Amino acid sequence: MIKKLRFKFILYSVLSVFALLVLILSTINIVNFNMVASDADNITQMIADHDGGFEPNKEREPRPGSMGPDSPDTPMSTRYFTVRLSKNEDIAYELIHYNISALSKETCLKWAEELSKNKAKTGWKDFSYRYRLYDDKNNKDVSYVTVIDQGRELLPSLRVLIASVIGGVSGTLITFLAILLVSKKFIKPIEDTYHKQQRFVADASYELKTPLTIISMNNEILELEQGENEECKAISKEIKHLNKVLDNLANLALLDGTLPEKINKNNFVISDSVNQIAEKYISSFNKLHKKLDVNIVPDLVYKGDKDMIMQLIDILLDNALKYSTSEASLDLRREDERIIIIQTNDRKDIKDGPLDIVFEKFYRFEADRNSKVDGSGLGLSIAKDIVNLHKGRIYAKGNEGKFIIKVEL
Amino acid sequence: MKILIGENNRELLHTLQRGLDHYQMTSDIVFDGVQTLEKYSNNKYDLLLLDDSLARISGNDVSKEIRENNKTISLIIMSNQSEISENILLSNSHVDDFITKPFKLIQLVETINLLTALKGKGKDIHLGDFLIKQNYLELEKDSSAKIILHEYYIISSLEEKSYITHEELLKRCPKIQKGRLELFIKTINIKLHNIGSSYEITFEKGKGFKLAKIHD
Repeated sequence: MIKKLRFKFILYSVLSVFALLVLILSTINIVNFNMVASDADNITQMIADHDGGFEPNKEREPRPGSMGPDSPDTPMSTRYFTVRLSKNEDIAYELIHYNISALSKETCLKWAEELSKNKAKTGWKDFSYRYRLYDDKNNKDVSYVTVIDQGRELLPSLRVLIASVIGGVSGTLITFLAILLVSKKFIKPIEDTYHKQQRFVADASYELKTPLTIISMNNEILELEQGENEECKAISKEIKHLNKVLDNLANLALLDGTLPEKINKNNFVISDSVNQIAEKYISSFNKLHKKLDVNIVPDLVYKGDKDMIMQLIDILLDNALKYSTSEASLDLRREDERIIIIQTNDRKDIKDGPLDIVFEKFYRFEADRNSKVDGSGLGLSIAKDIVNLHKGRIYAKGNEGKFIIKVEL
Repeated sequence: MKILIGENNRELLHTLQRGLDHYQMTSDIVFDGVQTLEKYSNNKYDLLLLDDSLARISGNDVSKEIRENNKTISLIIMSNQSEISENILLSNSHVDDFITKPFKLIQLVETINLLTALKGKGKDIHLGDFLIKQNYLELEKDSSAKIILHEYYIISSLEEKSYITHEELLKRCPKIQKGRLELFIKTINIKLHNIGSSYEITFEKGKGFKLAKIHD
């Protein structure tokens, strides 16, 4: 359990740091790219405002340190082309401004044709080229496509992106290593408390045995001296119940402290073991005029702790014997690689739907608490611990008056 | 019947003494392992009833020491464990029976009576290729292995030629709790192997238990 807790602590801590890094770095990069796109759109707008080119022969006032599209050097540093598109004239696509070396004229015309079909008026082409589609102010049959090369502007952004990815991954990795190193120390107080609690439960149950023996024996002597009476019978019944609770608590404490890798796993014929336990219960069911239907696929082999699995079956059938109204069943089969055990009881008061609450310590249905049936509410908790130690799954549900427990091993 | 009871808890000691008295069993009481050995050496007892966690010397260690010089005396250990484990059963070389707390007085009295009756018979049972020595509660062939009362009732109920059902076996073996039968069968088989016997207790679905030669 402590190992699971430590694993969860490391996982959630690292995931939280990773999520935070992703959020912060994504925001930085998205804002960065959007700013590059916005600057590019400003430049294409400037070009669009002057019929597909920069204002010719305009003397721009020097402004040292100016940055962005408003810089007086923008017309000289922008690599771009503009194609005029005409619906009615002979030349449909005309390259009217060609100020770019990276693309051939043919490529420019080809791109213009492709981009003219786009619905979006602005956008990216081939990652680093920003385009704008716009109409002629005076002639509605004429439109333009301007494409500017933003490769140099995008390069720093790309570097920031790469650095973000490297930073994010290494940050996560460093966080993982750091948390891995400190988690053991961090979990230790919880681990110590947990073990002390387990030890306490085991010791308490151990130590209470002698006082229980004294009470039980004195009760018997009282009966011998005064004859049988209801009071002594009641005391005797409660001692038996208390003893069962103590045994179950000790068992639970032991199971909680066991690691899955430490259990005694060997190959054994689970069909035979289940059959053995089931045969024991048939006469008990008969005595109570209840039916037990057993369907076991023969010769199924399973690798696990045989004693624990037999204890599991015993708990399920004991549960069935106590709480079924008139009939119960036990099925054992294989599905794919898993051993499946299904135990069903008929019960009047059962609700339809999942009932995994039954695996909680001391839980008993209301009707069972009020009944004369002796139970501690710990049996199914023990069953769950056994299944968990075998890395299996156990479910409980109600369905049309039946209480069903399914075990997958 | 004279019994020596060794238990740390004085209240339980006195209760046990009073209880056994009702069944005409006289007893002496001691509070730790050292006192147990001293009392035992100065008196004659038919049975020792000892707590497994006696102070100064444990009930188990006291039993071991006594058994070295007395193979016939009956020794019962009272344990706080909820069940006697396979390890304890397999490593046991001196105790005739274990009784787990809390137990009923009548349960203890029945165990004492069964042990006394058994050891009083003084004869051996031949089964398979080994002996069950009733006086000592031992299995013997090439060597010997100590068994407890439950194990004795199981092994002595079995036959080579016929099967006995689970239900019938439980009927013949007094006091065996539900679910413990398989454990005792396992420990008996291990002990049979250890003494060099070529027999074991087998189970056949639909038929029951039987004593069979290993290669059958």
